Amino acid sequence: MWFLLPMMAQPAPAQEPAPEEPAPAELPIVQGPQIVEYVEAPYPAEAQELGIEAVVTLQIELSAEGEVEALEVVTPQGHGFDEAAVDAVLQMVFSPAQTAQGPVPVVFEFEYGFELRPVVPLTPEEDVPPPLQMDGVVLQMATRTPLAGVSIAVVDSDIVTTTDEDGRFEIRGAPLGEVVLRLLHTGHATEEKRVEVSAGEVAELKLWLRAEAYRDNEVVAVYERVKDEVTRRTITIEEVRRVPGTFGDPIKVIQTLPGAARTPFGTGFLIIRGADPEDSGVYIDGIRVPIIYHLTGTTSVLSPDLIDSVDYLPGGYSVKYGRTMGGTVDITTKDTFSEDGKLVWGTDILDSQVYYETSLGKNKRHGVAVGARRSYIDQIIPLFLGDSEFVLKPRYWDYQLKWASKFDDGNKLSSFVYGSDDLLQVSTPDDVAQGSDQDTQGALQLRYSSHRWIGRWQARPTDALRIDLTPSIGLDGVTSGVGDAFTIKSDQLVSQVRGEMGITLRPEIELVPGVDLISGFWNFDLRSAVSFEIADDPLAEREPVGFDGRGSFWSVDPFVRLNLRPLADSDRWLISPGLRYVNYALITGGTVTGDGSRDTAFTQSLDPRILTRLSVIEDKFAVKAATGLYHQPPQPQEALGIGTESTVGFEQAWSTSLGWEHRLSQALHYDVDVFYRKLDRLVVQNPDFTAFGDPAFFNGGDGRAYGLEVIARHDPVGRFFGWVSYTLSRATRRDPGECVDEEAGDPENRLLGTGPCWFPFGFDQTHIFSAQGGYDLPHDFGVSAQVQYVTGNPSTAFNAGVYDADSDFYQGFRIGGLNAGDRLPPFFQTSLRFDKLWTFKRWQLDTYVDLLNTVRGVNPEFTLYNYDFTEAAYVRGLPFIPNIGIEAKFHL
Amino acid sequence: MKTFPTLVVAALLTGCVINGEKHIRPRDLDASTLVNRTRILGIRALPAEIRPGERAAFEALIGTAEGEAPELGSVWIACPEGDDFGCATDLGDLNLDNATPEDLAAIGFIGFEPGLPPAYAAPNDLLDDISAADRLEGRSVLVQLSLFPLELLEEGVEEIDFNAVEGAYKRLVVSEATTPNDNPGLSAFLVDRFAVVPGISAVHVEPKQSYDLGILLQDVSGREVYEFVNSSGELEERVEEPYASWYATSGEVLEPVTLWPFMESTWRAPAEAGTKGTWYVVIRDRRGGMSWWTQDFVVD
Repeated sequence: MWFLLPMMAQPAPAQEPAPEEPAPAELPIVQGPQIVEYVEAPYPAEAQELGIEAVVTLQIELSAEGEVEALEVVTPQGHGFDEAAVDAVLQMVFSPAQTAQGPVPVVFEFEYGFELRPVVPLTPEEDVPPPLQMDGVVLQMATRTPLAGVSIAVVDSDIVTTTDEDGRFEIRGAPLGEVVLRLLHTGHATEEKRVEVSAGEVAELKLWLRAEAYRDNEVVAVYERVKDEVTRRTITIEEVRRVPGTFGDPIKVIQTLPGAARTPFGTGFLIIRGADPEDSGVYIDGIRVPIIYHLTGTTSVLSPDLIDSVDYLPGGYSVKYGRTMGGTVDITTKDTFSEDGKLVWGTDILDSQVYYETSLGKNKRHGVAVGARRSYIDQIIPLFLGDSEFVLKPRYWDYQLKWASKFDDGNKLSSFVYGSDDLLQVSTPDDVAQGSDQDTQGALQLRYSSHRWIGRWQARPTDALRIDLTPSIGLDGVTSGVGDAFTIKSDQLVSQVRGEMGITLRPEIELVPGVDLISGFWNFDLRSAVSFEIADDPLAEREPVGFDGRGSFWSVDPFVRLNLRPLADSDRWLISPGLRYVNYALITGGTVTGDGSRDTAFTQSLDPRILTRLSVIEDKFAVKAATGLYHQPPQPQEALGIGTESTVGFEQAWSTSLGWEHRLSQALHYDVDVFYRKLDRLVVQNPDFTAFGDPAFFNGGDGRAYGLEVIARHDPVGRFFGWVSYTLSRATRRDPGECVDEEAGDPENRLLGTGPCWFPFGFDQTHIFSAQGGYDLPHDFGVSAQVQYVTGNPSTAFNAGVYDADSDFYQGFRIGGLNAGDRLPPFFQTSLRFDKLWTFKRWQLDTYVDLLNTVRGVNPEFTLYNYDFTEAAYVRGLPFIPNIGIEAKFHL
Repeated sequence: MKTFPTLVVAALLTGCVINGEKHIRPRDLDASTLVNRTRILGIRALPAEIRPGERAAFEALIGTAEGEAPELGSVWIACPEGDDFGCATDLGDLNLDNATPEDLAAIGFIGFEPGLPPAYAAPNDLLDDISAADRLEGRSVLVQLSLFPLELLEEGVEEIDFNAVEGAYKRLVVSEATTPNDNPGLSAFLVDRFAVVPGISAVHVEPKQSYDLGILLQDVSGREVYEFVNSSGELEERVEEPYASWYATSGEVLEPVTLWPFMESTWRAPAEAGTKGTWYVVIRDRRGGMSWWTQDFVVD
């Protein structure tokens, strides 16, 4: 922009650069280049003499470091204008353009204007510059960032100046009395400030400019893996926080992506491509962790502000991840923090959380972040329900502390400690019996705690070698019980060291060897008022039983993969074969073994895998494929040989996927995946179990899952963002023992227990559709919405009941029909979110209203029967929940 | 202002449930305490526990909805409790028209009502295959009861609607226990802590009023002391901990089950004056013994 000023031999301030054509990038530009340091060009003498003004249009090639690499005059003006403009621009400093991935090179057009102003003959007195009258700095509201290149004009005068790279300015020669300063800067609202100018005094000013938009589209890539996996799904933190129903949690957004099934009551389980929740793995900074959600399933155990990226890999992942048959979620925490400090405090109806981060030391090479959260819904519920009812009281808290350092040689070192504690308690009134069993009276309680330290050292000794070492140690504990009669306590101490190297043998070949070393100690204690052998006999005399177990476990899982990039453009084609050796040793002692001896169980397997991704049309169309074996050890309770030796081994899955990615435009793209998964040696209950000493589990089941996944996305360009996700799938299981072939058998005359060979997996949801999007309104208002439609879960409807006169309850039966042959009605819900961002000088306040389940279907989670199974009613999912929250962000 | 209509629509739709009225809710399900149809509420053996070679008779507490007096028939079957659920019966070549009670008992049928009162004779060798220590606890014999309106038989067995058949089962303990079980002895039924006079036809209650219903157990037989040899081979002396299950043909029972020593429950009378009904309470001693008490009421 220019100012129409009186004739003076000074060039006017140049116009802000307008990016014309972004450099080729995988992602759209979310922030254009900005002027950091402006340089005034001397007015060409020839043009000044002739009284000519001009605007020189230049095409600038700017590097990812903000350096002018090439310059071309698009509209030459002659008379020396072109040369003067070129010389000035070459000396100017710009900030680079940014995408969601980070700084990128860009080509843009820039107009440099020359405007004549009247020449005032200098008198001897006027050779002396006028006295300094105003001295100050211009800062951006909320972020308190000094703004360079801000144009400040004294209204009704010819005085114009611009701020320097530190945002500072000086004004001289202004008339005495009240003057008005007008501040102009691209991307910010125009501001006017009245200042009293007095003779002999210098006014110190701190001026504030408000940005036109404060939405956090910063380059925090979420759900992206570009290096050596085939999945590419990127969603920014701002999108994540604005999707209704996710409570701003980046990990919960996974349930809106293809391949992830809907979980009961919106809890945080991960049910991916027909796999049980325990079949999917969650990692934090490469270390496998037992849980990632609080028991309520509403939020994860990490502060969203600490999360740098979330990789969601529903299948087809490399040998880097082992011991899972389902999907994988790998969360990476930040190791770069705000230079000047940031404090965030947020609260809603469930909990309150605080987070602080800052950079320290010379060149801000060190950083620290600390966060904490505590629920208070457990205090609120009794206020409404009182203590005379059966009351569910969830209580949870979590904490995080991270330190990260970067060194001159490029090495990085970090230390991360985090933990969580969850308590789910159902309190009961003292004067009401809970059923007829005298040993199950009292409060029901489940408590889970987990604490971890994760260190990380990343080094690059040479250009051809990189090292990544991640040691960790963790402590997990579970306590569960009903009153005083039944308790189970379990603890484990686990250490894990992950080491990985990248060796560039040739430019197109990288060898990546690695190893996961896992070891630990465990113990459990179980006390029950009745032994399991007679638990279903209401007349049996009861004797309290208990047994304990303790032991250790270890495994050494080496893996190796090759990253082959056979094309000259190394990012276009990746072929990655790999092999992983998985083994597991479980040493068991204690009374659980029956005779107190120590048992050792050892199993092993080999996982070969290969995956590939080919960019057929660069940045437009890519195809991908993966296939391989995945082995998973049994769950701890399945691996224990209760009173006998353990005979349970690894479960196995052969998984294959094929798909493509197509970018339709700068903002629009879609992905399609087809997958097939064959499951073998699944751990199932032993139907011949009768007493302590019989194996409780064995590898006798199998299953299969297959389907189609589609996601179409509009990147956060402009005011709108959103994506649509659809999964069409089928997942089935088969248990060992007697079954009837579906085609040959007679399904109408079979009692439950002799069902069909193949039956639907418990969370088999044929259609999973999810659409979410948001729109930025003026004045920092925002609205977003979500629509979900999911096929109901399989169910087995009872249609008969027989009365047990000794126990005083009915036993339900299914006569005729197929096991899991029915389905609950489909799930449908819409949610809305409205938010408003308030911006002040030193802080911002984000207020929002999340209307969960604004419109919903019956949405049954399961069927509840009356006492004799002659009537049935649906237990519905979450009701309409208005969640009001605020988040304050301070830039210190 | 374009967003205003959207907000209005959103507000109007807030909390809207599609097709919500088509599905009953859990709170609408019939309570287990409500006897609004013919139901089996209890089965007891007389005596409660027998030795091999001894004989036990059976009777059932049948609850019926007020105003209903169906003619009922029943079939009783018994077999030693095994791994499979239920008793499998094989008629073989047996002609039902000519069969004797002994013939029927041999294939598991121990009673037909009306006509043949149910009774089971435990074989002398029923416990021969278990150890002496286990014989003190004994084993269970499964007794199955199928209850049905007699009018079902008019159509022939092949046409029976099994939805009209009420099924139940009970375990009869056969042992060599030193202190065999007896059914709990009951001495009185209480309303607001006052014993109902024996022989009274109905207790009069006020509409919508709450009453404390109670049952009084006899001092000795109501709560027996018995011996038990634990898994360590030690002899223990234990005391029964009975519990009560409460039912009514109308009104609302607020505590369906009460545990010893809380042998009373709160009942709220129906609103409609003139309503006649019945209270049922069944006491179980957790060892297979069972007793019950019924009492009529009328709402003034």
